[in-house]
Amino acid sequence: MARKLGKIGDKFEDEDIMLGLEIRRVNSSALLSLLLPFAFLTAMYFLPLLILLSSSFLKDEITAQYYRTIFTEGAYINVIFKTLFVAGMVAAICGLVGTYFAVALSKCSSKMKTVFQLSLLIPLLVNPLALILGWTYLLQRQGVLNTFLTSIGIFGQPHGLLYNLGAVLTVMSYMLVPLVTFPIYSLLRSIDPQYFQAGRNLGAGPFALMRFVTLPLVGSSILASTILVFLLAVGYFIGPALVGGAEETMVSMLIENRVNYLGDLETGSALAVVLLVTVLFILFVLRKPLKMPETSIKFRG
Amino acid sequence: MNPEITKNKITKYSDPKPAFLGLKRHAQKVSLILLGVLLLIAGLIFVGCQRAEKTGQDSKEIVVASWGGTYQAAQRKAFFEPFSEKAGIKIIETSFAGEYAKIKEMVASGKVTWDLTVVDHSTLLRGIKDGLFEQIDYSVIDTSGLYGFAVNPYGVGADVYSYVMAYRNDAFAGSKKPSTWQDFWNIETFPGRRAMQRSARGMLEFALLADGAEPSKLYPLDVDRGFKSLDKVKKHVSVWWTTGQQPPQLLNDREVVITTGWSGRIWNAIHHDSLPITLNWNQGLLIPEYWVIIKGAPHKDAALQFINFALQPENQAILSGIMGLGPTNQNTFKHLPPEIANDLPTSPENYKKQVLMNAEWWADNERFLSQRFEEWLVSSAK
Amino acid sequence: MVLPLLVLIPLSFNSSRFIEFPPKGFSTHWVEQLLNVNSGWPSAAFNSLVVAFASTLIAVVLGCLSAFGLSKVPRRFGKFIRLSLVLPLVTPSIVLAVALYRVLLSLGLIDTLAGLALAHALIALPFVVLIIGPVVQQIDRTLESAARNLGAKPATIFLKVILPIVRPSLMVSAALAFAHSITDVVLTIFLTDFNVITLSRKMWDGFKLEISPDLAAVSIVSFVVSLITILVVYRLLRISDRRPA
Repeated sequence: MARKLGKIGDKFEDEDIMLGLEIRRVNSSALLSLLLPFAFLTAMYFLPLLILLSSSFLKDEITAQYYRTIFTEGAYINVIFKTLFVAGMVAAICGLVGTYFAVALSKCSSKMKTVFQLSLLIPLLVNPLALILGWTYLLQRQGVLNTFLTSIGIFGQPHGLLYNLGAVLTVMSYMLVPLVTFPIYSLLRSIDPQYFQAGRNLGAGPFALMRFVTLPLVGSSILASTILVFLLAVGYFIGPALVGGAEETMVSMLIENRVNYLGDLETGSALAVVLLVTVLFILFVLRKPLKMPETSIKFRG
Repeated sequence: MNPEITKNKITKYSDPKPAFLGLKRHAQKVSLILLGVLLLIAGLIFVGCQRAEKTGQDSKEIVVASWGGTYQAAQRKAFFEPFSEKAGIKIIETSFAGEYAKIKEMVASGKVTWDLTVVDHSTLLRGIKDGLFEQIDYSVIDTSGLYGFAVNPYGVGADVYSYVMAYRNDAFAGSKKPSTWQDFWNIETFPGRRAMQRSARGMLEFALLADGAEPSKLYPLDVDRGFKSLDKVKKHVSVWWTTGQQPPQLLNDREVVITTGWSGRIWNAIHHDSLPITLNWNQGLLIPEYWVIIKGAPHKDAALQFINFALQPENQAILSGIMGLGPTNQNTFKHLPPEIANDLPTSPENYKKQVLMNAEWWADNERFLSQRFEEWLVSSAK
Repeated sequence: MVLPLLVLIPLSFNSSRFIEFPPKGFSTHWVEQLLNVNSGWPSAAFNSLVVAFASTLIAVVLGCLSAFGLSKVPRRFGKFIRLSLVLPLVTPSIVLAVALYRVLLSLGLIDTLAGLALAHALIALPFVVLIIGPVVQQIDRTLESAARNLGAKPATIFLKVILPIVRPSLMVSAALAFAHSITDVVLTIFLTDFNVITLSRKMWDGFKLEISPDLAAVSIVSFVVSLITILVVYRLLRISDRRPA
């Protein structure tokens, strides 16, 4: 390990000098300190997942029948596609609206900024059930929105705003938009204004500025956040369960239904595994744009 | 301090062995911290387990799982609170939405935390087959006044309710009001959004009745015919509700104009919340419910004591007065005013119009049909 | 963005039992109910707080250990560990809930404060690691060596050198972990029954079994609490901004 010396740019640390003894010393305490978290992870994460996996294959004998059912039964396929579709739409909405918010945020006066930021934090820090209650109240047939819109004449009569796709999209986007806005905003803030200056000096109008300055710098971040939203949306449970109709059943709801209500642990586990694998797969395939571990989500500084 | 450090520094450079000392010191500190944290977590777990055990040993309490909403509130008033006071046994309540799997899992895992719950007749039979309930020790139960159907080796009758139709009073212009399930299916004459229970049991019967099946010849159900009939109404159902409290709420919000529902909740909404809705007894499905003791329940004896209390006519009368539920003890009628006595699922007038749900048939078929129903619900045939 | 919460305020004072608009009459009944011990709300709030504190504590401790360890191991190994530490974050909570249910059931931890706290700690841990990891990594090694040369024991180094640098990020991640625990619904639903009722659980039960305006009242109250949390975090960030990294 002392042979680590020599690469250009390597931080030259005292430990490296000593004949590998210091390094050994450091490493063992490092390993020890990682022991507990890892034990925790194994017990609480890897082990349960393993059990989950096994229960999806096992019912008196090892069989793949549950997976077969999932991939062949029309109803299940429907739900899977529906889930992907809804998650995709939510991601798109969040991407657009989130970026818009970020841009708007960067152009606000500092007082407005605080207010805006605080209100954007609401979906992240307030109990989702509270928020869904509010949305239910807003979107009910006799709810705030309907009553308001009919009284000022936009709606001829109360419309069904709840228990449908629109409601699910609205609620889910509402909950996930901050995840897009905050990273983009902090990125926007860190763009050297001299770029803009230079661009303007060269005669670029606002659109060109956006295309050539902002977008290249922020584009990958937008993409990364959108993908993150997609991943989270795919596994969403309470939103679709409480404001969606039967049409909007998502995989997560199926899992809950199979496990809790029908007692079909095997199918539920299989569905859960499929969900997890999908998420991990997308994560793996798109890991470059995401460059995850280093990007801190709550970067506001 | 100085000589120590010098010693360490020098020895680190020149002698491998004392490096072990350095290793030991650093690692010692870390392991101490780890140990401390480990103890902390272990302590938490220990405390946690203790809490869970505590409810087990205490024989001065029972855990009852009921169905929430106005029903449970009424049970609280009629049974839970008076019983607690009288017998000095604490009743810990919890609620669920009838998830059969939950009971099954509990018994299978051996960690039974509930003592008592209320299940309807078909669930009772199903649970008996699956070995989920304790046998009732009738030597300690006072069965005087109970109807025949209320005495089952594994459960004691709690109340009787119906799956019925309910609609808003202002929903349909004109004097003709929906009365049969054919009317429910009839969008032209009775327009408006519908809600139905997210359940094969009950909805299949309604679908068959809507399709013209003879009420006396419903069982065994022609399942395919039922699903075909359900297909016809599917696109008009905007909400498939899962909990008993939803139908009155949906009607109140005008989210739907007509729905299926549980007679108790609807009755209560009309008489106690003055909701402008009508309960239609015609072509309803009668369902008796039973108190059951989960197999392996920690407080069996106290549970039996409670059941005894719940069978007393005076107490049942309170429940009937709040929820309009049919009592299982005939003597209850002595305590009920005629307006209520005639407006129960089991009142002669209403009884005639309804069909008794075939519990045996559902005990055999519910599992499979629930699955089929869920799949039907999400399939794209709209 | 504030809309859903804003409209809940008048609803909290509705006199009838239903969620309707416009609210029928004015009554402080529901808000009073919140304070009434019999309604179960105060103990639910207490439970939520206990679980949140416990899980934050566990997550922070584990997170610090991980960050510390990670900063000292070779790159490739560290990457693997960091990846597995982050996995709970991207796993859909329903998958976690179903998986954890079986394990915790056999350990007898279902419906216990400890069980729920551990589960919440699981999802909070990645946050802590993600936030303080880079900070620990960037700590100037010379600071550490200097301290050691001056004769400080490793524990002192940790306390007097590393901790102050990490503290602001630690606070942020702790606040995040806390918020996540208070707002968690899915894990709570699956892992609790009747012994440990938290705010989320009680609200969910309310939603499923009987929606009444006390839910609205609770929502407003929990919002106020969250608001306070936000403001605290905000202040801390302001402070950390001015600190030299």
